[in-house]
Amino acid sequence: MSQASAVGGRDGAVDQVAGAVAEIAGRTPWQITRARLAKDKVTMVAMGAALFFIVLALLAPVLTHFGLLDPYSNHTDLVGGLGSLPKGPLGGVSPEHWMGVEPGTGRDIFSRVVSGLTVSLIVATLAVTVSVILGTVIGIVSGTAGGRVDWLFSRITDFVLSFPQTLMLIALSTIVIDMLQSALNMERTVPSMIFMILVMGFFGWPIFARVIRGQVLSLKQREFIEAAHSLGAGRARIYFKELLPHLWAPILVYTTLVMPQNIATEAALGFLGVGIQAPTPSFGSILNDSVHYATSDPAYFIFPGVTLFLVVLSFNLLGDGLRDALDPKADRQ
Amino acid sequence: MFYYILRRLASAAAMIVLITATTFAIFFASPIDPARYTCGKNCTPTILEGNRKALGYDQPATVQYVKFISGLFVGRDFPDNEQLRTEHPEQIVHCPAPCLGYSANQHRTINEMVAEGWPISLSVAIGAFTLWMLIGVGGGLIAALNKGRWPDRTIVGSALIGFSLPTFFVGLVLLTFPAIKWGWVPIPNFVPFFENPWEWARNLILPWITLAFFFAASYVRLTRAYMIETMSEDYIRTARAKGVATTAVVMRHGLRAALTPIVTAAGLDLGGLLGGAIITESVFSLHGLGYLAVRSVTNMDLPTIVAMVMIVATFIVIANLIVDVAYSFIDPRVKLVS
Amino acid sequence: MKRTQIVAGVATTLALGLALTACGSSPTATSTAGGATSGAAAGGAAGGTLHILSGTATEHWDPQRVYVGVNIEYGNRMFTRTLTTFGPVAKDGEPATLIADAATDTGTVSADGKEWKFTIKDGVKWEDGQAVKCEDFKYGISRTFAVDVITGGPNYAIQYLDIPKNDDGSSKYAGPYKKTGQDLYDKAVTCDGNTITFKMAKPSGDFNMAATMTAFGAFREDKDQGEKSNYAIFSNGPYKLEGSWTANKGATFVRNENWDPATDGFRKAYPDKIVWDESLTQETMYERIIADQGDDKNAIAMDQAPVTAMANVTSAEGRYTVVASPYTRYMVPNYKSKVFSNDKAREALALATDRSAYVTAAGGDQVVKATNSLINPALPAFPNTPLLAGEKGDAAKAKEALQASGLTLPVKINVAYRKNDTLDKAFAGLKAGWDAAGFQTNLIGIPAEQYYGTLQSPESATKYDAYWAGWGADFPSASTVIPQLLDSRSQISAGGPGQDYGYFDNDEFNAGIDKAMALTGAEGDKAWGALDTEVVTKHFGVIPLINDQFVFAHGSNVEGAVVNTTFTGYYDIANVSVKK
Repeated sequence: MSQASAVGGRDGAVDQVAGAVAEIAGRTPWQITRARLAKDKVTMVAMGAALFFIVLALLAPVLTHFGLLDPYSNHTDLVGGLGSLPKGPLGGVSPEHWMGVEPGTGRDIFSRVVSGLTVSLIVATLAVTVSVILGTVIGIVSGTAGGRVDWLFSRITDFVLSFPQTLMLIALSTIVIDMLQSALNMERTVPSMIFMILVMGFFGWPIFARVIRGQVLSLKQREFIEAAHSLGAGRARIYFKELLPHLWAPILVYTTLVMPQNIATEAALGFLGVGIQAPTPSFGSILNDSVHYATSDPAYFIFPGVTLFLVVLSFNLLGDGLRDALDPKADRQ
Repeated sequence: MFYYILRRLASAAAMIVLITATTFAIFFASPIDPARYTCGKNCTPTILEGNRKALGYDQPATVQYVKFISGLFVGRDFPDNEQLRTEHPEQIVHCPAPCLGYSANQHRTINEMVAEGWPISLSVAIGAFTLWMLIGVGGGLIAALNKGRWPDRTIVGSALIGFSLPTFFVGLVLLTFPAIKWGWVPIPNFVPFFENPWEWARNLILPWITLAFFFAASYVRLTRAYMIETMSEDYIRTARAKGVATTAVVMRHGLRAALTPIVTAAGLDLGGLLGGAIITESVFSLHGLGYLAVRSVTNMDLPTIVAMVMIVATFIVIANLIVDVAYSFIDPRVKLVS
Repeated sequence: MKRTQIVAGVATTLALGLALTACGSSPTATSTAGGATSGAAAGGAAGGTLHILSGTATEHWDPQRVYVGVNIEYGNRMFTRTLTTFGPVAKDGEPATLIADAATDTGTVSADGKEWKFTIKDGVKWEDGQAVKCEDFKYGISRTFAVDVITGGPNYAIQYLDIPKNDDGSSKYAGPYKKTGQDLYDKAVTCDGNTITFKMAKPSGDFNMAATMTAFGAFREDKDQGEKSNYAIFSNGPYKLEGSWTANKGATFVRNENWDPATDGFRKAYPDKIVWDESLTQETMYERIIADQGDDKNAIAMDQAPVTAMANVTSAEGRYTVVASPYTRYMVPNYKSKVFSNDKAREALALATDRSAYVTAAGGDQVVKATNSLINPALPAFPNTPLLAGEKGDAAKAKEALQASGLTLPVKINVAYRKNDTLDKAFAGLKAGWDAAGFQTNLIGIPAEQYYGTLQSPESATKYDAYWAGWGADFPSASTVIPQLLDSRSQISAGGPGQDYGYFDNDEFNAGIDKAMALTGAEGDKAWGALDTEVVTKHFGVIPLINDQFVFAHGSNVEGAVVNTTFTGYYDIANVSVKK
């Protein structure tokens, strides 16, 4: 534990081991991270799971095109009885329908869940991208400019943070989606996704701005910024070439932490009947319907619910693992 | 010190004004006609116009905003019609200060609706807060002190699971099984505290657990992280070296330092919750402020939507203010900076 | 009426009505099985507290503003007596008879059908002890004319009474607050002692049926606070409000000591107290009633079971019932749209309509039946129009028609429907059927609260090509169906299409309406039926989809709960009692 090689990048100083004058090569932060990650089995599993979900989500449209997934066809013969519940046990689970079928229509739940995964992941990823871009730019500008500019941006950050995100999402949904629908002249799916991306992205930037600003403030004192200044480097060059490489770590960590929150928020809003709605499959819209069948067809609620849980869990685990791996202080005992 | 508080108060007030103005601007600048949703079936253009005039929607947004602000201080009358006031005063609804507006959709003043929903949201928030602080901080403490060993792993694992389960999922499972299917607790139906404290608690225990699930998980992680950081500080090592008993070390030195950021976060979370736990209230059909907010959106009840957003944002600002001022008392470094 | 509202169903529908309930109830169960309603009118125990559960918020209790079945039923049975009403029945779905309520008989009509007289009984009192006078009825009915304050209610008073109209279709009498044209009203409705006389604008044989609506109830002038009277119930029936009504929550009702059972032929008023709780969702309330715990044993549902609860309801042996609903759900093509102003396009839409998907989505064929008539099977005028292309529709034939229309395929159409889970699924299926015929359907779900308002606003004519709609007769006459939905003269105005959402406008058809209005009895029924078939099969002006059935349930301590399909289609509270 006290080997020089195990100490974080902050002080790659040479450590005295009695007698040994072995070649102490300082490791780059990236190498340290990789080593830590490799030891952390749980995080590796989480990363695998997260990647699996992402790949599945990306493949879903292709699979649907080739008929392997079918979220839209009705199979009314598979449901029946009073209330049109799925025939067969566990909500109609069968070799063709791994998660059973939807009451009332007989649509394949597995296909719908996978298509929903696509929609949810697209929305969550793009939303976090918007937050990252906005937050990083504001954080860098705020941190480097200092003084009045910094004060102004900090107040703006506080202002945005005062608005309750969920409530604003709900309150703005009908208005903004209607506007987008008329402006783009499309049916509801794409406008509702754009709405979620923009509004979630907008209410997410303060976190990134705060973190980036903090990082920038501590980096500002370092010599290489001064050096760049004295060499005559323009502001933009400083911001982007010098600072950014040091910022990817917190950006990555917070991205993996915010992603699952976005996925969960979309699901919660869909559950309330706001945002992305049927017939577009998304975790929210599927659960909004399945909630009502909790007592009569629990499988319809459990399968998508558990899938959502696993997706969120894997991203959370990944985020935790990354944060531990990237944290310079983590090895200290 | 005094000036610091004064400055924070002024800043908070300014923030609230800004929030109200922005909310107003967003919603009244929207293309949706608020008068349209005050008129039921058989709505003719004449009735629509009449409603629009009576509720003041035909005036420019700035005028409406001024009327709203003045209503907060002196109260308002709906419909704001001189003729009606003299001829049929019994038909005028008087909304006393602070008047948040009138919902033609629900045929009542927003004050009434908020007054009804507020005790419920407060009850839910306070109970959940107590529960999650006890479990969260307690759990985090145990985990931190047993870092690496099995209590730590179990607690961290459970916290992660709790953190990843969607609130509505937890709520629904709790509603379906313990309440509906097994009958361990009644299906939540709000009983005011002063009417029957025992029933009040019995009915709210499920919503409390639902909310606490997520927050407790969050606070376990938070507490554990801060405690670990604090416990590795040099002064802790010194105290131990000096021979101070472990309990004293942990509680008096360790926890107290770690508690400050935890309490800060808790204050902010509580502030946000006072505006209504939207998901929980929806799942359990509790008619608090969160439920009111959702319903006003479904009904396109613009005045209520605006009022709700403002109320919740105001709570958050005030929570921020309280936390900042309290922090300045606890943490001596703040005084120096300001 | 469109929403949860009153209903039709009279004498000769007995066979039809019972047949419907019979085929809907194979898992044994009209409430007669469990003994809950056998001999309902007789044995009931006085006392106890009845709990009424509802998942829908009450918008109005003001009698002139009530237009929702639940509120009409409850309002009339508990605190708003009308001149006439439909009496309770002994078994679910039995047709009810028109009886006198606050009046001495069901009214006398003059030979030319233009004058109706009713005499108000002695001894009918308000909750403060004052007698209910003729003037109270006259004042109450006049409030309907104050269209800017008293909104939401039916406007039959405006239609029936002999008061001239302005050019834009509004009445020259502006209500008792403004008093413009008060003299015109005073001429049309006169009081002589306790006898009230109504002068009709046109010969009307069924005015005494319209009078069963709470909008024709009495109202005390000194209690009128306009908009503020919305929930301020002032009773002349067996129960009165205790305290006040809390919106979205409910209230408690206690006995009105000034109600004299001797003046009331049919209300038994068994329970001592009635608690109305509307704070729940439809799903939760049915879960509670099915679970039958504690106070829920004394509970009765004033809301039909949602599709999701139907399967569970069957476990409530002897406590649930399946009855025909008063509604017909149908599609309306928009004549003002570029697509559906084309006859062949409308025909294609009709041929391609896959009703089976709707049936499955709405709960299966035990509770939903495809139909091709606007008129509900419970009315004698029901023409039972055969389906044009079978229950699944015929995509091939439809495609031919669409190609013959001259429009370029695929034909893009915007279809609006009232958003809820069931219709989401139903329309997914309908869309598949239409798209197979060459349409390209864009589905737009509009939230319930805004739905009919959107359809009735003039801008919608440019935005949508077809709509979903539902309609139930206000009282058992097809004259409340066809003219309300298809008579362009009374519906279409500058302010919008009224209930003729598709702007159907056909002079010949309107002439047919006039003829049918003048007929009575079986001849009238035939005429209405023929008009129904004509608009569906010749003009393709509407595409009827389904008739559904309602599932209701109650707790195990509740007795006398019978569904009155003639009067509102909900449980009739008049004879309900609570076991000890």
